[in-house]
Amino acid sequence: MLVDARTLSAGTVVTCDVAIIGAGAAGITIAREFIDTRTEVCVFESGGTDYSAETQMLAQGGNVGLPYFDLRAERIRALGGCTGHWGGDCRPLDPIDFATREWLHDSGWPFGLETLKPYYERATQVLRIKPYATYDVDRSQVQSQRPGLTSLRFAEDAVELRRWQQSGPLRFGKAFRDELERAANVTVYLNANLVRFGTNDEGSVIDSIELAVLQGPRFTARARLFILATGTIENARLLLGVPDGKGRTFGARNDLIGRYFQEHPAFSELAMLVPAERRPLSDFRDEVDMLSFGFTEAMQRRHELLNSNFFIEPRRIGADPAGVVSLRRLSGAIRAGRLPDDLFEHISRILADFPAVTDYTYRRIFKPTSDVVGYFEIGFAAEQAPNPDSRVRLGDEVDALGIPRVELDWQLADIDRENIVRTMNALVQEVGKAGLGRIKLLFAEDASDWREHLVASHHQMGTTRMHPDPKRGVVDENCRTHGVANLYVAGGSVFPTSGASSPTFTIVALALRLADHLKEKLA
Amino acid sequence: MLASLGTVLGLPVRAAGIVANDPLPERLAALFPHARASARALGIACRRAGACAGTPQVLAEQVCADPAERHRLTRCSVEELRAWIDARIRADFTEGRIVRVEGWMLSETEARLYALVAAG
Ligand SMILES: Cc1cc2nc3c(=O)[nH]c(=O)nc-3n(C[C@H](O)[C@H](O)[C@H](O)COP(=O)(O)OP(=O)(O)OC[C@H]3O[C@@H](n4cnc5c(N)ncnc54)[C@H](O)[C@@H]3O)c2cc1C
Repeated sequence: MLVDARTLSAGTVVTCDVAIIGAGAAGITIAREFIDTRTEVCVFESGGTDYSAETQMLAQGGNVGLPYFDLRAERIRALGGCTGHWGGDCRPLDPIDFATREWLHDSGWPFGLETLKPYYERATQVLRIKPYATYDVDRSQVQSQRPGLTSLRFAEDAVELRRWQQSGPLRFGKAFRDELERAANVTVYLNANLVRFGTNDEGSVIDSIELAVLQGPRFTARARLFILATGTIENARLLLGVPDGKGRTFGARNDLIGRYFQEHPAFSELAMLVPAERRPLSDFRDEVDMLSFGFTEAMQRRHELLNSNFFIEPRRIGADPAGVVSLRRLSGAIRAGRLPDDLFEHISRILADFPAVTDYTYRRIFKPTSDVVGYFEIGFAAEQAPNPDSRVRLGDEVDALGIPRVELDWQLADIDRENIVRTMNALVQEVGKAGLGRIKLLFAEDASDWREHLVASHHQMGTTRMHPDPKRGVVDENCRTHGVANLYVAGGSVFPTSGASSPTFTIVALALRLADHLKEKLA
Repeated sequence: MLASLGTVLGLPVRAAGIVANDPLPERLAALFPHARASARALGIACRRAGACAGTPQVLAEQVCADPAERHRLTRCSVEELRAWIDARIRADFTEGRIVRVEGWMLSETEARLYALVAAG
């Protein structure tokens, strides 16, 4: 059932077994798991079924760290949450992402991939993608679809091909609206914003929450279990800024809330790879699924790397016969007894066109329809090292409902910069070892210019990290908030480390796991 | 890389500064028949970057330090020489013997070959 909370009278009290705050990928997934069970579920969603500028203002916040997206526009406040404009790329975490790695402080999940696998399998159905086994790359299939990628014959124990799946992109709000509307035991309250927790004296049990409608009534929901599923930044914001009846916040009790904010820092135009073997562009293109390269677990351990995905973008030489132009210019300059100032720029182009210059005639290279890959642009999206100084905190301003706005202080640490150098050097070695070509690095030797290459990925994680030890985490291995018997957190905020895969597939898998846990609890 | 760069052996390059009684520098310099101008330009860049220095003789000795092996390389077929260089370059990458020249990540061996051409 969908209920517009604007139609409720002030002081209404709704009662249910499970109260879910936030109807994005996580909240909707959990709610759906209870459809046609005997559990009464209420979902409280800040937005309506469609985007509203006024509601969106509630998401406004400041960026005080590294440049980041406008927080108001980034996180859609409507049924379906950010899936209203996500890209739909799905990939599970790799086994190493769950591991405690000596070289990575604060790494390690309370469980491994094996625990999550059955939930990933179920998540494929939610996201309407092919079964989990699809992620095992079938090289012969790649060979027939994109022979160019398999022709980059890296040592198999060093570099692996990774498959991604595209979910549509599935818009949760649209895709599941009818189902939620029909569900007799699930009620979604739209335009309902969490503004207060009601707790016992010790603050260890939540008995109710107060919800507010913009310029409208406030009402109360009582439940046995509460799940905060408002997205990584809001989950932290609400725990830090929403008071209980005594004016206390959870943030005052646990300084870890809001810390360890992680993104997938992507570094573009880091390098160019001039391939030894020239192949047509069509050998690399396929509309079906995205593929990336990544270092194997053994390589990551050997070089103490953070996980990352390389995206290798083929560029034509037909469209840019720069090498030939350079060769002409260079030989002209040499004949005239001088060397051009930008000598190496020319040389790099010549290197790029070595085979072309020797194997092809100039005429052929200049042919505008030429479809030969001249070089690859290389960038990668990396796991961010967990960093307590990278954080969400409360700002001085409040929103229209009196909740403090957030300040996002996204920070990268030295290890993230060093990782660029280590990762790219390892790639240089692998390319050279396998005789695949040569790499020109486009960043400073110590990567001190990393900021110029940095792009964020729209992936927010880590602000209510999972750890069995209350001193090291905000939620336990079941996503229950430490110190509160019945408050759970769902979403990317519980990730202790981010891996290098887009987060939503894992968010959905964790949401399914949490739903199972809650069912057990309620039984 | 040499083979993959598509260079084809042509006439030997007669370069000034190559010691007459040791044919190896000359053989190595001859590995770039079509792209000699480029190899030379690369060599200049390698030298300028301080990645390698010395006469062709010195550079050839750095490419192959073992006298017996050097002796063999002066007599082997061009294909064998190419294969030896290729293996050497790959070994450089494996063992991290890499030089950065204006951003290009080259094996020490190939940088020396370019420098050798530039010295000629
Ligand atoms: C442009 C873009 C592209 C992306 N592309 C990808 C991709 O390709 N692959 C991928 O894996 N991920 C991608 N993501 C990330 C993905 O959208 C998120 O990981 C996912 O939506 C998170 O789900 P969630 O349920 O935790 O949070 P959200 O989807 O953000 O949902 C949170 C919900 O909580 C509601 N809410 C907030 N505050 C309150 C409150 N006080 N009271 C009640 N309700 C509240 C919000 O209105 C919202 O509906 C992308 C994100 C963006 C912005």
